[in-house]
Amino acid sequence: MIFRLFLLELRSIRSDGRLLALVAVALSILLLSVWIGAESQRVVTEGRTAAMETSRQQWESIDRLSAHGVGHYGSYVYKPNSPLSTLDSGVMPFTGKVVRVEAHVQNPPAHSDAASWSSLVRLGAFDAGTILAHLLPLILAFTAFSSVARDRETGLLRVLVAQGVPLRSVLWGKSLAYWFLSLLLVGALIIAHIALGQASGEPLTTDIKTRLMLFGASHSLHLLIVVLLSVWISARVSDSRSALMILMIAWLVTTVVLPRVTAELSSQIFPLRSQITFEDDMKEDRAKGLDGHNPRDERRDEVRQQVLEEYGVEEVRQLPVNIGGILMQKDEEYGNQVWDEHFGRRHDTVRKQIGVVQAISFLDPFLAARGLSMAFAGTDQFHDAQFQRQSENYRRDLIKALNDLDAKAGKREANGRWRREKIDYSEIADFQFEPQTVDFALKHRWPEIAALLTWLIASLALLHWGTRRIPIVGTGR
Amino acid sequence: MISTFLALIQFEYQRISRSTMRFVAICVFLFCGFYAITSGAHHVEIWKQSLVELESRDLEQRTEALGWFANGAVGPEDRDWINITQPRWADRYAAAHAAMVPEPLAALAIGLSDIRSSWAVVSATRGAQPFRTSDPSTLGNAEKLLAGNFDLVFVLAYLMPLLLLVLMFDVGSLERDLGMMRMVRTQTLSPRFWWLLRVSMPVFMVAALVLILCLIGGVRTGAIEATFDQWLSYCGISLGYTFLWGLLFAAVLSAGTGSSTAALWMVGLWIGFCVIVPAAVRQVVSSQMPTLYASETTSVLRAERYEILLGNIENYKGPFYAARPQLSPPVKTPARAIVSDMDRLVRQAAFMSEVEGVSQNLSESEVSREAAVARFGWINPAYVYQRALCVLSGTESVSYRQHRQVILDSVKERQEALIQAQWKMKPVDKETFESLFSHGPWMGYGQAPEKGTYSQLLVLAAAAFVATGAFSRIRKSRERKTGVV
Amino acid sequence: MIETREVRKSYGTTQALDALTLTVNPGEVLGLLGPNGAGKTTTIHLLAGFLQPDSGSVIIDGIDVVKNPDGARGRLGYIPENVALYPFLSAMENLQHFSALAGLKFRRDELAKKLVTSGLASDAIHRPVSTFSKGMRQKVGIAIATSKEAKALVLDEPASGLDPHASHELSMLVRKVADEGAAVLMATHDLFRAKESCDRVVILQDGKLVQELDPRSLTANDLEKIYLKQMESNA
Repeated sequence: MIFRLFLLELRSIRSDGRLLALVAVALSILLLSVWIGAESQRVVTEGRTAAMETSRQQWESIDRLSAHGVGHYGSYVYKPNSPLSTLDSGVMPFTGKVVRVEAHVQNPPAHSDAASWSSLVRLGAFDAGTILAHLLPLILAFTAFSSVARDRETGLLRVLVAQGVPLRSVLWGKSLAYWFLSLLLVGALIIAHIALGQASGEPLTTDIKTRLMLFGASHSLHLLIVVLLSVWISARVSDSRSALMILMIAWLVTTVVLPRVTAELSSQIFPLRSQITFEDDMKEDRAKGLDGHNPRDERRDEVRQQVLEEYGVEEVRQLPVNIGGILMQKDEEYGNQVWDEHFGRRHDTVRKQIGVVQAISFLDPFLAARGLSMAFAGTDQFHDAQFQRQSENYRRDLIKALNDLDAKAGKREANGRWRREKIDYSEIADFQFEPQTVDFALKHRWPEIAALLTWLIASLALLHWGTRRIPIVGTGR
Repeated sequence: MISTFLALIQFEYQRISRSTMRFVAICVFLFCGFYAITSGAHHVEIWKQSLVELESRDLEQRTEALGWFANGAVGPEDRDWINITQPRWADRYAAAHAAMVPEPLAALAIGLSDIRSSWAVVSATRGAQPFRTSDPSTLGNAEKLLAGNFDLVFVLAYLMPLLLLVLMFDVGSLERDLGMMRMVRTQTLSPRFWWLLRVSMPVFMVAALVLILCLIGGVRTGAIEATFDQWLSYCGISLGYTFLWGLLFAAVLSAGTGSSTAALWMVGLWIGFCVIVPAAVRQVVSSQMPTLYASETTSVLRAERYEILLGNIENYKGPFYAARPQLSPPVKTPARAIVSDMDRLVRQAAFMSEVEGVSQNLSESEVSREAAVARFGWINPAYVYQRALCVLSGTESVSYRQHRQVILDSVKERQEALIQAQWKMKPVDKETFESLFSHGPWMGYGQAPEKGTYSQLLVLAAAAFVATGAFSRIRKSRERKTGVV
Repeated sequence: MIETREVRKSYGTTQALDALTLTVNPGEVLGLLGPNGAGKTTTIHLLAGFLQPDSGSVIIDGIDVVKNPDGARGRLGYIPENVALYPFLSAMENLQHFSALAGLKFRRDELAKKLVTSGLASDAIHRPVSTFSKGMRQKVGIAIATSKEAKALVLDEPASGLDPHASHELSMLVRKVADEGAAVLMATHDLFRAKESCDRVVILQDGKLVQELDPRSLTANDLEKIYLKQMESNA
């Protein structure tokens, strides 16, 4: 019976030109967004390759600098785009994509897209994630708001119920029809993404396949919740105009107002220290460590003494190594502790802020869908923090390698002076980003998964058991 | 006519007060407005607090240095190589920043102020560059930025049209749904007047709510007192934007459809103008003019800087003296340390002109990107409106470009002061040191919106007006032919 | 006075009215009889200016409806088959609103009296009309149309859905309006009510006026017989 009602509702949708037009518009926008996204991805990948080549050429043409000088000269790390960022760009436009890697300083990523755009950047992104999580629920609400109310107003509902059709079957048939439309859109999107990826020769790894599947599944679940609630409201409210207004206000609150209010709230509950205080504190803590450039520094003397003891010599001029390189490395290691401490605290605060949003996603399924969408596309804050972490690890390895070269690449001359060897810096490899697997996303986003499932169960329960107070007959004109 | 007017006012009151949903929608809108004003004011408080911290940090460092002058010392005891009577050390200890001070209206249009940094170090020797300001978004919670800000501009640009939609979608179309349009037409003295009044009443009501919010915002932020003209422009543009949406929705209603079709069209317009068009324009322009990986900037900051630092100093002396005819190379060869400091400043000056070039290029690419976006302005009203208010409030990209120029000018000014001091070949005295403190103006960048703003909004309004007339004519002719009202 | 002269109206290839000429004088009630699709509603819509005739003229109280539809409507009262009202207003508020739109101002007691005169129970006057039956809404519609004190009144199946008592009251009311000097045209299927309230009845079929009768000279049964015979002869 439900299947028959499902087919009937599909026929009704097919006969309504407005609804068909809406679905066609949604499909066109989705496909267009995938195509534009793929095109942008291509341009960005080419840009990254060119930037990396330029940077590499500059690196390989170093010839007059000591290893420590090269540490100051530094390198650049360029953030790669996630292969699925064409589906959901997430936080990527707002975070820096270039990290200057140098000695003594841990630079945060800079040169975000948002930093060079006007306030247009605030008006949303044209990607599938936004369309599926933001727009499609509104379109579904607009197609489903009159699904039951219309039948009640035309008297069809009375006829159906009088024929012995259970009300919940009517609701199920209608819900499945609208969800079927959503599935068509999500399916078309994923097929288009795969086809474009294949055409441009991008590999379709198991991880990407899993991410794609979960991306589609999370949006489909969210849309199912939207459909179930829209149909139920259409049934529960006495007339279609009221249903429309309730759904619109609900959409507005859940997708526009609550996400912004929640973000504000999270930063008020767990405030980040101001950038100035943050930098000052780091500077102060850094000053407590070694000062690699300060020959009067007492801590530097202690390390020198340790090194002399280690090599069993009495004077620096007798050391088989360049103590400058060792001191610099010790200073770096202290700096790393300071960085870990301060950035760790900052990341913890950000994690707590995201935790608030995750908790509120139990009240707002849109928040859950948006979080999962970004996570499966590999473009959420957690994935971005990984880039920052990996680039910092690269910096540490690079500077350590340079300090080691500074300490060891050379020989002590008879007059006690350290003579540096010419070093081939081209042997030092560029930064390689290790993408996170889907497990990483699942590990960080389980609250959103739980929230979405809770909403789904609640919506199903509502549809199943919440039919008692649904009016069969309208209030009349 | 007056009786019709009064009857419709009473009717509108009854229609809204007896519809829980409409009443809730108005309350939600007002609540969002109040929250946005509070939230914007909170943001500006934090901004101001940052500037206070910045000032006290500068003051602390400068006080320390002035203490050395007072004690006859030239630097800290534990670092005897520091000598603040040498220009390069004086530069380091004469701590100064160029800062963007929030305009009172910034609380009502926070624009890019949570994405871009509002201050930068002014120093000629610490690698200060106008585009190398700290990136707050990277240090903060980017998911918060993604969620978007909640300021009054957002409420007015995004939510106001939705409130208008809720109040307007069944004006006339309800009568069609219920089949009472014929009766209305036979009862009304002038159906056209009736329609105009019915359509304009929700628009005027929303305009009044918008004015109330602007007024509260103006009082709460002090904008009315401090920058009355700008606040007035803020109100005027907001009212214009409200009427524009009123016209757009009136065009939909003039087509004479039922309420669900009207609502669908209205929400379609809203999605189109507030969501799809801005996002699509951004996507299209960014694929045409990608920001990419800033390699032109990074190259200057690293490779070219090193090339200048390690290159032959003689290559840079010619342009250096040519640009400063008041200076000439020292007649007698000074001490080695002074020569080294002079050479350093010559190289720094060469590097600064590279920085100037990069800054200029960045500004030009920003401007051309914005020009590309502006080409779509007449179909992008939400952005045009938002931009106008952000420009007015000094939080738009144009404000940051001006701020960047001020930073650059301040750094150059500092550099020239150091060069003057260095070429005197005398120790920097207290007076000269104090003169370095002038760190560029701490100012707001609020200004009148670009002229194109008004014409873009007017073009759309004119299009809506024409569409209203055309739809109305088509509807009338259809009705008279078919009898279907 | 209500007047149509040689009015033709077609919907595509279907001829709805074919050279219809009618006149309803002040103080007269004309019943428009005819089967479904005969052109009764089209005639009423033309009179109210909702439709434009292909040719011919439609005149209300001397005003050409085509040339000046607003002016003509100002002199016309209209009661549709299904009276729809603002559901969130009470009967009194609906009447007050529609009267004000017509430029009329009544005291509350006058409004109440008009509603009661239209047959609405006094305890229903302040109830929201969303709770009203079709017959009750019809009575409010009658109050609205008659309160305008128009020179012409057109009614499209006004008794449809009314109980016999309400239907009788409607007939009386229509008669009263006509007696006060209005020209009344009433499209109806109800031959009994037509006989009860009309001065003349005309039978319309396929857009043509096929017969004109004086109901006062006939019994209701005679009228029915003539009507059915007419239908059969044209079938």
